Amino acid sequence: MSISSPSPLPDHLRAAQGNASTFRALTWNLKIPVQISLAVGPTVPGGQGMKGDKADGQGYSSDIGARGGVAAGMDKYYMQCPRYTYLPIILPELRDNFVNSVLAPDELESLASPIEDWWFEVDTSHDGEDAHGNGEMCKWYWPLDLIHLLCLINQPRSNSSPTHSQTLRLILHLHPHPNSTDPTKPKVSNSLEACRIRYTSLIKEADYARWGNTRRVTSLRRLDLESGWNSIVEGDYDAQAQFANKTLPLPFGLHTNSDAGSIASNTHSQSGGGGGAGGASIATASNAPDSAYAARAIPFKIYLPYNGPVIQDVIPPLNTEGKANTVKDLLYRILPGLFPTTSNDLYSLAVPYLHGVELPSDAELAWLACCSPGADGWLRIGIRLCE
Amino acid sequence: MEPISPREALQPYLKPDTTKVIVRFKSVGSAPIMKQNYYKITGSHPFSAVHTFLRKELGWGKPGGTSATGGELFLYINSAFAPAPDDTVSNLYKSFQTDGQLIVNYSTTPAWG
Repeated sequence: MSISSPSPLPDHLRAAQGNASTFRALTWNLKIPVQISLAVGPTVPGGQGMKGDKADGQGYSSDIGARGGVAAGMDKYYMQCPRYTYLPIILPELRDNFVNSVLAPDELESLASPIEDWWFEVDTSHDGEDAHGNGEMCKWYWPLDLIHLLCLINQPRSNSSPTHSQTLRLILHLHPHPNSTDPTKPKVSNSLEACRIRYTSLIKEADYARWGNTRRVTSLRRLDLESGWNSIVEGDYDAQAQFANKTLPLPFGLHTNSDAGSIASNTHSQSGGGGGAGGASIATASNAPDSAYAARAIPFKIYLPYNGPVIQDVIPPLNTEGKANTVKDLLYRILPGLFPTTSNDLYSLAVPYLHGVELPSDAELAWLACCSPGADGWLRIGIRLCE
Repeated sequence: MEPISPREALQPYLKPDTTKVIVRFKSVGSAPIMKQNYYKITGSHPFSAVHTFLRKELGWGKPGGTSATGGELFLYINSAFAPAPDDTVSNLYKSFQTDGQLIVNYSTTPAWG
């Protein structure tokens, strides 16, 4: 891996960059085994739902059985996908290597809609059942990591066997989703370009959450900005590392005396909680890297099981005593009912997960947000209940 | 006191946020101006609902249309970024509010990527 830099960095910054690069590379290399089933027949409104289905109970059944012309035993496809990737990126491979191999060209024409109408849902069937889902379309702009996280947290964690099947089971539908004809809802395209635009927006939103402005992203040259998305499509870590070095802060400035001075020298001002358009302005002298501990807030989203709401808030990297906020601090503040301060075992009721891994309670949020975020800069934490 | 189960502990967090958020709409470029640009919107609504609401208020027709009042409408927060359709109004407010309001800029052409 090569890291380009216009001028040599001081030792403590080089160490921080090395530290961040190591863990960004480890995060980048995380993979998810994915199993894909094919649903050729159109979905039928009013089908069965799953546990924890939408509150209104409206689900759609996936008619996997009605796949005329599909040879038995050829209806599943297995692949190993990076966690950072997106469904529109893997869709062409699925069409070429899976759909085109199980459906003859004339069958494809008569049985399937154009690829622009295809969609995925999570397979919620149990062992021995035919594949079926709850009819909810996987969002095209969700990274695979998030789809996997939502599946994971919907299965309670057993204390006797805390691990789980890591395979993400999806169903690929070759007919339009029943809701796609609703004229009141903007149609979300499954094209790579639409996904790139959404990814770029999420990068900017994370930047805004972190600093109170999007200057770090909007000041990038067009080629540099596009390199973030291109690195995801091409699986190019070197390009991603360079993009991350330009858009993410580094974990320095908290633990060592020399670092402590660095925050002060690199930071002109720092806002507190509420934020807004005129929020934090962390200007840096001579393009020195930003400290993750000098940010306005941590860009995070917390996902609850059973279709609970996503939680987002302004949590600064440091608490009022100047110490780094940790996962434990976040959970105490956001979800005190699930993570009671009175309990000896913090994770007795629920466990937080990041990238499919249980999060240590003393992990610093600022460190996680700069060394192990998603490729779009967000820290996505899923809450999984204990059985 | 009886120990609480994980499901019971989760239950309060599953309730939708019924608080109202003040959303202020600001037109950009040649987008039509609204007579009233302050609205109170339920916090649990997804941002896509704000999009739908605004189109209706402006009489801006169906998404993807090509007529003068049926074209694209692009929404941004704080003249900076376009939120995801499934971001909730309350989350956006908590993270990006300005002086107690969520500022939503709308434009008929892409403005801030």
